[in-house]
Amino acid sequence: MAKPKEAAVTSYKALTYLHLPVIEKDYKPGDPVPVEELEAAGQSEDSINALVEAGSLGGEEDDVHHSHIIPDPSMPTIGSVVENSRRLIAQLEATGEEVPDELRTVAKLDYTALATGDEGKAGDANA
Amino acid sequence: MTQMLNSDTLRHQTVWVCEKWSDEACDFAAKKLERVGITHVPAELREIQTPTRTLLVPRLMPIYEGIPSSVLREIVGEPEECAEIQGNLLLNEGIQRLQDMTMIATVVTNQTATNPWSNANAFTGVGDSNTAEAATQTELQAATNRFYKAQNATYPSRTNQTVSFQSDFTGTEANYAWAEWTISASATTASGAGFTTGTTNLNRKVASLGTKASGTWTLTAQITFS
Repeated sequence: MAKPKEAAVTSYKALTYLHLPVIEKDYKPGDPVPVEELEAAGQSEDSINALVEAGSLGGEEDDVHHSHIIPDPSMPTIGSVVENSRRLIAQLEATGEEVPDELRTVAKLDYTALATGDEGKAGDANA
Repeated sequence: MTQMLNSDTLRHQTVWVCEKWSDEACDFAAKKLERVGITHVPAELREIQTPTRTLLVPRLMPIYEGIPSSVLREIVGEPEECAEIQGNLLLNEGIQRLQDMTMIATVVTNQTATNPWSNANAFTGVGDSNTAEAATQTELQAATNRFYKAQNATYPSRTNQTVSFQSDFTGTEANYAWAEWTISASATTASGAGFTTGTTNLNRKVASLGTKASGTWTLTAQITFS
């Protein structure tokens, strides 16, 4: 977010779920967060800047954080696009029609899910 | 098609209990142990890799490095001070880890089905920043003063719908203002008997628990889902 001019800022917009200490108040993504409430919660200019820079607070024109956008259950996945491409190729080939190269490229995509580890490592360094 | 989204509520509540034993109480316990010839006491559990298996064994801590809460309870009794604070904010990465581990068909690249908040892998982290809780945060907000400690033996534990986490911060550990705290799955960047970086943080709470300068402080988090 381009930070609004200092003097003009009277309220921010919550871009994620927020909880202010001291006044113990919750905010949902999209809720206005008045500067006076941030100050009442003991948030210094540095803390407010940190929240802005991290994308937790923004201006009215800013979108809420992408993690709070509920996906449409019917939206295509990589897997469904690849499967549909393969089905379409089979249909085109069965009818003797030309199959575009782009369609073959998509159909060849390897979308196999990967097992991932975690970069973190627990344990006692002094052991 | 018009999609109608009804919002149900997953309720969770967290109670944080901070028990504080002073340096004098720790010294008293250390001297009493020394008189009967005990120089080390069992502290947090750690993983030991053998050629055939992974073992969890307690770290043997010198009594003048610190005294764990289990020993203090036996020798000194109840803590001199006990603070209870309610509430926290679940962080997105913690919610996603809960979901990854329990309700996905296949692990894909941005997901992981390992590293739960188990005894060997859960950490209680404490820092000195009072920056507000935000769900997109992935770490304590303190720039330098933050410390993650392993769980005490038998933690985390579950009773009904409540899971309890508990860690002892002894002697020289986390000696600064306790303004924020969290539960993390895994931690990195070793510092003494703990770490300074949480990997996947479940939640974060901001409130003042006082300033630790010495002694043993025990932080317990009880998270209830309903």
